[in-house]
Amino acid sequence: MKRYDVDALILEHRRVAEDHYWMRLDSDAIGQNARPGQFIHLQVSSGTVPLLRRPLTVYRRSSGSFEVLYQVLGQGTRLLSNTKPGETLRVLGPLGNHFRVLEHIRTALVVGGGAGIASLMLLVEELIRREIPVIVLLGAQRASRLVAIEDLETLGVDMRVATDDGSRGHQGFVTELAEEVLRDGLSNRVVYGCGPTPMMQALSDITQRYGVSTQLALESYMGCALGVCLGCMVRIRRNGIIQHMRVCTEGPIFDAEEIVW
Amino acid sequence: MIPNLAVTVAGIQMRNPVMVASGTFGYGQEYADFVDINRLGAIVVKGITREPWKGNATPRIYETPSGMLNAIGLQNVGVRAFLSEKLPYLRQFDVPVIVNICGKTTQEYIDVVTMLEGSQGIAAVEVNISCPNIECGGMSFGTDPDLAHDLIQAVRQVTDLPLLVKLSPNVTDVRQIARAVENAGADGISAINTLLGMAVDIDKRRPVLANVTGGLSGPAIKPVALRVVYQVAQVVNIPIIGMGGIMSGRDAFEFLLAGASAVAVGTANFVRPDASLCVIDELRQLLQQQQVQDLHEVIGGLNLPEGKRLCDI
Ligand SMILES: Cc1cc2nc3c(=O)[nH]c(=O)nc-3n(C[C@H](O)[C@H](O)[C@H](O)COP(=O)(O)OP(=O)(O)OC[C@H]3O[C@@H](n4cnc5c(N)ncnc54)[C@H](O)[C@@H]3O)c2cc1C
Ligand SMILES: Cc1cc2nc3c(=O)[nH]c(=O)nc-3n(C[C@H](O)[C@H](O)[C@H](O)COP(=O)(O)O)c2cc1C
Repeated sequence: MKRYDVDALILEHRRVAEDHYWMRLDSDAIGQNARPGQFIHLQVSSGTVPLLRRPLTVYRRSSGSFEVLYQVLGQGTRLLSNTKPGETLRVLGPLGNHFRVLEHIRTALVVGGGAGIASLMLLVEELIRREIPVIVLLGAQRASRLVAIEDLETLGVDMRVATDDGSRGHQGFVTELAEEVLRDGLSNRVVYGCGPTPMMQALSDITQRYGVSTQLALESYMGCALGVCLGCMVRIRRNGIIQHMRVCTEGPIFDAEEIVW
Repeated sequence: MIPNLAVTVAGIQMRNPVMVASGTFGYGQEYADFVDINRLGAIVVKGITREPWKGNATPRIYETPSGMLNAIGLQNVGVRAFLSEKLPYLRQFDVPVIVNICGKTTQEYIDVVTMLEGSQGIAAVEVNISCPNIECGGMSFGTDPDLAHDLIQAVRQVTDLPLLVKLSPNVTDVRQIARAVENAGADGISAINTLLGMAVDIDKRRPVLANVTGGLSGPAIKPVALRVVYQVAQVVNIPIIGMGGIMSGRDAFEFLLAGASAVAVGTANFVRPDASLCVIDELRQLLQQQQVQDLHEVIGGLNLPEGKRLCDI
């Protein structure tokens, strides 16, 4: 699939929760072509610090624009959070593989930890479009850091929330909610997840215990995002051998059972 | 008057002096959406070894101020797969293909070159004697003048392809290595490879890279690279391909003045996939502004302060 590197105008940009921002950018190329779980590589500085771009998943899209939802973590995302509508950013994408929605799926469980939900929104939209029943589980440290709630409510999906401190929803980890749902043992179910690595690892343990097929969106330190620098590798067990695979091109979506944590 | 950018370096005829550096442009195909490959001066492909190499454990890269550290460990498909799967794609372009090679022993280098020798579509071989990532390999060849000499002499004997030798900056006096490889029959010198560096994570109290150390590249190393090119240009008669932190046409111009006959764009390809084309266009503009008619007018054209010579640096 063709990828583009374009100047994208910032149309809207605002803080949506503690340390979390949402931005809409003008780009037909990415708005039209991004598939669930695909990402862009964004230049956050016109100087040389930070030098490398930052990867962000396409949160939602339309024909003329696309959105990202991100957490401020370090220097790059801090700089990004200071940009304003009317400015342009260099955007490379859409990149990577995408979530697979197979024909036989009866129900889907979507599990997002923190800003991880950003990688799952296009997928939730597609599941709804294809009339596949979906439950969304959302986790955060505390209520003030929850994102995407209103957008999910607008879609009318079954949504359950967990916070570490109990300030909203279940007190505890979002993976505990996942286990609760899986306990009913329905067949032809698929789990999709994205979040901090410990969360994804815990989720992977649970879903494998229940024998449920699971796709996870992995993160990794990224250089070129085009498959060249071989910096973003993760270890994947496929056909009995453990091999290094690129998050940027063979990923970011991998089957949980293949991931060597 | 549009300046003439064409240059022939070590027998490699290029339409302009701007190459893409090894390991930063894959095998070309990965960048085809963004770069009209026929506009490049030359392509240097990712380092190739006799057998496929798996590379290092992760994390392999880390960003530092105006640069990045990498410890990829020369992961590559090996020379056989390169010839059957990667080279055919590159043959469709009218651009010299330079094959970067590496090995852990002299025999490995010889074997790779021997396998490349009979293939159509290879303009030159760039011998990486400087990769800082491999425990017992590259580093030792590149840091000792005698080892470097013997390696290049051995490789010279098995090929008629132009031989470029890529130097490591991680040495006390790079001029000794440069002279040694020239004497051994090198046709040109590429300088520089990455600078050995390290990053520390204070929370985990561990080195950030799984390999502990890695190679520093990007704008942070440009002053070092310019100095190395300048020093080497003083002591050899073979052409130099300058690289290290080139982000713009202005950077490229600086390397030409310091003594490089051509340049390579590396890490900048990660920042802007079309960085190499931007460098070409900007270089042409700058030369035009300075009313330069031919690139050769500026190569090594540095005006030194009164009385300053090699012995002063
Ligand atoms: C394919 C992909 C898609 C992503 N999508 C999103 C998204 O939609 N929304 C979002 O908020 N974030 C997303 N991320 C993560 C995001 O790219 C990083 O948070 C960001 O690059 C951090 O940059 P920084 O300069 O702010 O932080 P840095 O200064 O680079 O780092 C700050 C801290 O964050 C850690 N860190 C940096 N990069 C990563 C990473 N990739 N994974 C884990 N830890 C990291 C560093 O180790 C450090 O501790 C995605 C990552 C990938 C690989
Ligand atoms: C990710 C990465 C991989 C590299 N791989 C190779 C390689 O395989 N062989 C080689 O000779 N140099 C390799 N290099 C070094 C570059 O070709 C270049 O010499 C160096 O990065 C300095 O140029 P720059 O600052 O423009 O990147 C690599 C550099 C990077 C960043």
